[in-house]
Amino acid sequence: MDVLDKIGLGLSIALTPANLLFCFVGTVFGTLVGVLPGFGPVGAFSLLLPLTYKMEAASAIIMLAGVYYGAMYGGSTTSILVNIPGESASIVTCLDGYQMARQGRAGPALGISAFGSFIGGTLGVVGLMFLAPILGQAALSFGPPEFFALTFLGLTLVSYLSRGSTIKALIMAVLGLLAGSIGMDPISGVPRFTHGSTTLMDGVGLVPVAIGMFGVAEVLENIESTTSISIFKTKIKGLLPNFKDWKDSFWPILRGTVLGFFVGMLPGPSGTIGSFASYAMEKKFSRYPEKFGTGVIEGVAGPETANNAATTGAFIPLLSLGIPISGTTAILLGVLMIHGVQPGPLFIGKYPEIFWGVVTSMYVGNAMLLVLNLPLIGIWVKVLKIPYFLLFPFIFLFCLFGVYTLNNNLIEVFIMLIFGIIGFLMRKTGFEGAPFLMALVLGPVMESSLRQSLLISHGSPTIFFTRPISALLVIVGLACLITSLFPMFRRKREDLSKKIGDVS
Amino acid sequence: MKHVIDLTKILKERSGTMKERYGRRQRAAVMAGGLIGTCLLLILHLLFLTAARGAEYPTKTIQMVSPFPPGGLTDIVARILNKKLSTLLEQPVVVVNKAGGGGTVGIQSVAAAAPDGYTILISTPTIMISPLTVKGLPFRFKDFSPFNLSTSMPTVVSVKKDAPWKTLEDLIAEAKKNPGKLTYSSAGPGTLPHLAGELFKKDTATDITHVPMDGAAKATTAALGGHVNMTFIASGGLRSYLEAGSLRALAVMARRRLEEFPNVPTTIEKGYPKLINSAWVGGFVLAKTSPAIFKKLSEVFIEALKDKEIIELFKKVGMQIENLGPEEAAKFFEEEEERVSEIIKIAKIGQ
Repeated sequence: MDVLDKIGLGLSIALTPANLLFCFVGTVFGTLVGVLPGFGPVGAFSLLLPLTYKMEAASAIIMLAGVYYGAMYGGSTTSILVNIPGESASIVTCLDGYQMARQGRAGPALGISAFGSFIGGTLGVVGLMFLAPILGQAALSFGPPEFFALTFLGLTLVSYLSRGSTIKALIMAVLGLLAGSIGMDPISGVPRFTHGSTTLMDGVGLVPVAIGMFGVAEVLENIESTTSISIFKTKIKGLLPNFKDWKDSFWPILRGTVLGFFVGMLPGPSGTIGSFASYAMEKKFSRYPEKFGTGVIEGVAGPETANNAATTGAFIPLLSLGIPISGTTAILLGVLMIHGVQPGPLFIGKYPEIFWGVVTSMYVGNAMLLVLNLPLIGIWVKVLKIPYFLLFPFIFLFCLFGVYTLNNNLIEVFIMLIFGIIGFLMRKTGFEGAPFLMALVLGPVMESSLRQSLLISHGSPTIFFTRPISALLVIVGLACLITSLFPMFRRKREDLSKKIGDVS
Repeated sequence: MKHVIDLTKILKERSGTMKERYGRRQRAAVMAGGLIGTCLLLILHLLFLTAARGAEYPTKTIQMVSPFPPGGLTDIVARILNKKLSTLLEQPVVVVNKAGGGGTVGIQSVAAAAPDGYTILISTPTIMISPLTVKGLPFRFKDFSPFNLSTSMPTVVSVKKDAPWKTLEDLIAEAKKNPGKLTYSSAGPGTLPHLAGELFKKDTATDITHVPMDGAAKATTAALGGHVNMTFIASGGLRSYLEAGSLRALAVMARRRLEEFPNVPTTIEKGYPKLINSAWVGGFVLAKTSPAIFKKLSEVFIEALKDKEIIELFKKVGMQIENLGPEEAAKFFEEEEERVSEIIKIAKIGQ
């Protein structure tokens, strides 16, 4: 069969000793990079770029791709163990993963995270293999109206990202939208709230805010409250997920794979959006949504699977159309171009060795990462025993270092510190960061898509309803919005009927 | 708070002046060690200083600031050149990425650096455009001196593959019949494609609606998917789509046709002599840099861009090598500045 031939070609390239080594180096480096808060694939790429010049194009991409999806394996480690996300795509894993760790279930959390990542990554590669060209074309049918509808839908799910009060979550979301407006106006180019700073022209930035609000704030909170060591008073119960864990995680993993894969193709921080969306989806479909946030394994399985599927999905626009959806994939594009390879619609046909070599190496890489990460669980769990006053300075150091490596810009480090303090104050008053972050990411896209759509339609809002995809998404979004408000209405009715009952 | 109080208690327990805690000999040894260390440092520092003063530029690592994220087309220019430059200058030339604000963050950092020739800038037209379109930027184009115009990529007027317009005339005719109806995508407000679009509007006397997207990739996607009617993107980013036939090029906004696509006419041939626009990349230092250093940099760049391997690489990436030295570059930039400031004023970009 044709595909089998191609897989054979790919394996012949992916399984050469050199490429196996590069894959290994990439995935290990990626895991490390994922574990360190703030330091992400982009930072790792900048370090590895000079090395890639001497390599063949396929080897270079194999290694860098390994770093990219490896980071999604490592990112969950610190989320689960110390409530600090290694990657912005692992923020939601903090919500339930850390709670599981506090109950002595860090092992199962890490385990299901590794397995979920493996399944999401591998099934994602299958999708990439068979569907790349078709999906690439389909991605083109997404224009500004569709992006508006999609981000609108995403924002209606914001209330599902919080553990506590819905009102507080909505307040945070609005503040996130406001924070997202900082920067250059996307249509007129007028600077908004930048106070003359060129750094702020691009907005406050997802990574400095995320690491500040979740990393620095966590460090601050722990310095303030705990002088003694272990918050994990219960004994570590088992290192791997048990049968019930697997049963509970089955559907979240499947749903996470599909959702993550398709979201991964969209422009922007698709890993982050995918994991947030998966968390919200699992909570919505769960029979016990109120338990989310207390240590439910679905809240770890879904998002972790989704973010790995998303990194694979991100390759589709790159390999089938030559379109980079984010800074990370843009670097991969640059690497290809420096090797004289022109990515574009003809890429798969013109360079089958590179495409199939990279795709098959992703299978290999995901397998390597699973084998690598499972034994590490025992080691990571021991990390919990390190006293805070040793552990946290290091974590803080990595946050500072990691954010600086983004753009060699000190101002971004200060932004991180400021949001760290804000995050700390938020925790003291019961406000949560996840809705803020989701709104920060989706808001600007929603605004520019809305205004672009209105420019295209010359001012007419009917454009959102005359285009089928956009219309569908808007309707689903409205439905989500209304149904998420039902509990509020129901409670009001219950309160009201109780009051009436008291009186009569 | 309790934690802080514990800490001070611990510190107090370990206190006592050096005199009380250590004997005479020990204190003498520590002081002697300190003095020797300081002397060594001073000597080494002086050694390097004299070496620097006596020797010719460059005597240490040169930072080549790339004001874009790694992997972009401008960044590639820096990375293709820096190895050869390191060899020619006999000092390492390191690419430092300082992305942000469409390039302004990196440019600003070079503007604030010392004019000693150890911080050079690789930039696109944004160095010329942004001070005119963004209020309050702390630099002007004249703060910099170009020592080389390295590469250029002309802007191409392109439409979706199955668009109803097969030639430039068709497109212009349609635009004239329905003023305001046709849309074009750009990489964002104040970017080169935006300027190209406004220039097109002015020279062809048509009214097309600007739809700013977030970057060249998104602008190209919008045209590919038919969400806008046309786009004005530099040729390097479009090659694969033109080759695959997903986009149709109607005209090249340049004086000569593209080598790779010789069937695409130029705007000049079509009767619009002033409709020229290209994404160039050049090397800059602060204007206050000494003439000797400036001369050295320009000589080295000219030589590097004559290297066969480098020429091949640029060809593969789709960029035309200009390799204009300081005098020719200055002339080019003068014309360019005139063109750019005129269109910014007419189209009221950034106001």
